[in-house]
Parts: sequence; C-alpha cells; structure tokens
Amino acid sequence: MNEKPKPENQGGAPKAPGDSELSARLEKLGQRLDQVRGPSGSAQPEHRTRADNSGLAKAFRLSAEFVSGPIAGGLIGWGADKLLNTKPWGLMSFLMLGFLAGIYNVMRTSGFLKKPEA
Amino acid sequence: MADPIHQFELKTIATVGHIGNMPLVLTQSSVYMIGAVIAITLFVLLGTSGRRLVPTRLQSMVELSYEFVAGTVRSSAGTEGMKFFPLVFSLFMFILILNLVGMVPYSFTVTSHIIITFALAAIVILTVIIYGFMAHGTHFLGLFVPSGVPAWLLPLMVAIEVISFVSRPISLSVRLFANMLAGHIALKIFAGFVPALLAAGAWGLLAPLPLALTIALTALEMLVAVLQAYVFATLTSIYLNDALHPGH
Repeated sequence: MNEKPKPENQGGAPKAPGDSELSARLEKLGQRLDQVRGPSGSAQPEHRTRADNSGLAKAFRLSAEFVSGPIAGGLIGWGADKLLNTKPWGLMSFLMLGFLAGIYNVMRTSGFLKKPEA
Repeated sequence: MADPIHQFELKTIATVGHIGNMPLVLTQSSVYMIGAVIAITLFVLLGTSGRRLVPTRLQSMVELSYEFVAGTVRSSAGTEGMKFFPLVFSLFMFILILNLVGMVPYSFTVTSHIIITFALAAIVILTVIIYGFMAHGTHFLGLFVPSGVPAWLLPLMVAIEVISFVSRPISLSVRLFANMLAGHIALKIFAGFVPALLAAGAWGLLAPLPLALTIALTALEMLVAVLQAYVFATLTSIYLNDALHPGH
C-alpha cells in the first residue's frame, strides 16, 4: 500500500540507473514542472478572476461589500453607546463612518483604488 | 402555496445534553455537516491512497481540487501563503460540498444559515488577527494606516480602515448566506407556481413557464454554489495575505 516510489518501478527495465543519472532526470523533471506550472500558475487564476467578474457575481460581491460597512459601523457605534453611555452619538457618528467604509470597500474591490497588494 | 421558508427550519434529531438551561441539540444541520466532513475525508483519503502515476478518476478529482485551491492561494497570498493551505482547502471543500448537497431536492442547505457562515468567517478573521500579531507584533497594526495619506486626513482614514476590517467577516458571511438563502427561496417560489397554476383550471396552460424558469434557476444555483465556495476561498487568501504582509 505504502510503496511510494511507484513511478520508478513503472519506468521499466533499468532498475538501478545510478544516482547521478537519476538526479539528472529528477532535475529535468523539476524544470519541466516549473515550465508547466509557471504559465498556468499565473494564467489560470487570471481566468478565474475574469469568470468571477461576470456581472451577477460582481454585483453580489459589491453589494455585500457595501452593506457590510454600515452594519459594522452600526455595531461598533451601538456597542460604544452601550459601554460608554453616550446614547445617540456613537451610533450616529459610527454609522456615517460605516457608510464611508462601505464606499471605500466598494472602491477597493472594484479596483478603483490601485492598492499595491490587491 | 408551499411555504418557501419552511425548508430552512431546523429540526431536532436528538438532544445530547444541557449547558445550563440551553439544550445541546443535534439538528439535521449538524448531521449534514458531520456527513460533509466524513464525505470529504473519504474523498481525499480514497483518492490519494492509490498514488498512481496515471491517476484514476477519483484521484484525478482530488488532484484537480488540490491544484485549484493551491492555485487560488498562490495567486492571492503568494507561495508564503501555502502554510495556510490546509485551512483554505478545508473551508473550500466544506462550503462546496454543503452548497452542492443543498441543491439535491428535499435536502437541507447548511450554508443558508448566517450563524454557520459567520462562524466560518470568524475562523478566518481570528486566524488573520492571531497570526498577524504572532508574526509581526504591534507592527500588524500598520495594516490600519494607509500610506500616502496627508496627516490631517489620517485619523479619519484609520477609523475607516478599522471599520472596513471589522466589516470583512460580515461581508464574507453575508455574501455566502444571502446567495444561498435567496437562491433557494427563489427556486422554491417558482417551483411552487407550477402546482398552483395547474390547480387553477385554465391557468394550467401557463404552468410550463415557471417550470422552465425553475430549470434555468437550478442551473444558475449550481453555478452560484461553486462560485461562492471559490469566492470564499479567494477572499480568505486575500485576507490571509494581509496577515502575512501587513505593511502597505
């Protein structure tokens, strides 16, 4: 069950091809893997993001990004009011900040703000 | 007409015990989740047990899902992000399987409950926060200070960045939950039109219309089920990237 070097066995006739030859073959295989992975590693996600940018998916994503801003702001403000007894002010100011954060989220998600890491 | 919300009701299967006054209950939701974990474990274990050079169908499926998630993590969080690969892969498979199982008629969609999706999002964000502070200490707080902003604007920007960070688990969970909930309700309503029209005498001639729409919506929901699992995995990797590189 746990015979790991199965690929070698399937290689066929030369059972012990010598260490140097084996390492050379391994290196070649690694290079070819890198070659294959290089373009597909970067190109494949590119494809997926384009699929992700289909209208509906984008609309769902952006609306969730925006709505979550005021919700988060409202929760923070409400919590601050509860803790600090500043009844309406925390909710009011943090709700406004939440709207700003929501718009900021949408701008960042839609690539309007070019962030280095995004 | 059939109640479109009825499908989301939790049904108690067994009461396991009590915590204070709260009964600890095994619902059909928990059963589906346990089943999903078992199914994923079997899928991956059976798929990788052969380790053929030319993969069997099952092994090929496992390899495809591995490569897909690994590509997602690498493209969003870099090779360094691969240390979080087990987390992202587990989340992706868990959500994918539960979404797809929910598409089977008469089954229950676990991911249509916000407490489930919020718990998953909380796992992600707590990982980001804990790992961020462990790896970078207070330097992690630099995440909230955007670069290239004039000093007088900085307090406002920091407040907005903090709220934006708090909103991440909310948007992550609301997106998945709302998609699944809305999709299944729409499906149920349009499917409910078919018997309602058929029962209304001559109106029955119109019954094929909602039926066709139901079929189309089913296809759309399949797409949404896979897409949302993928979006969750992508955003998880993007957020984890913030934990790896907090400086802007």
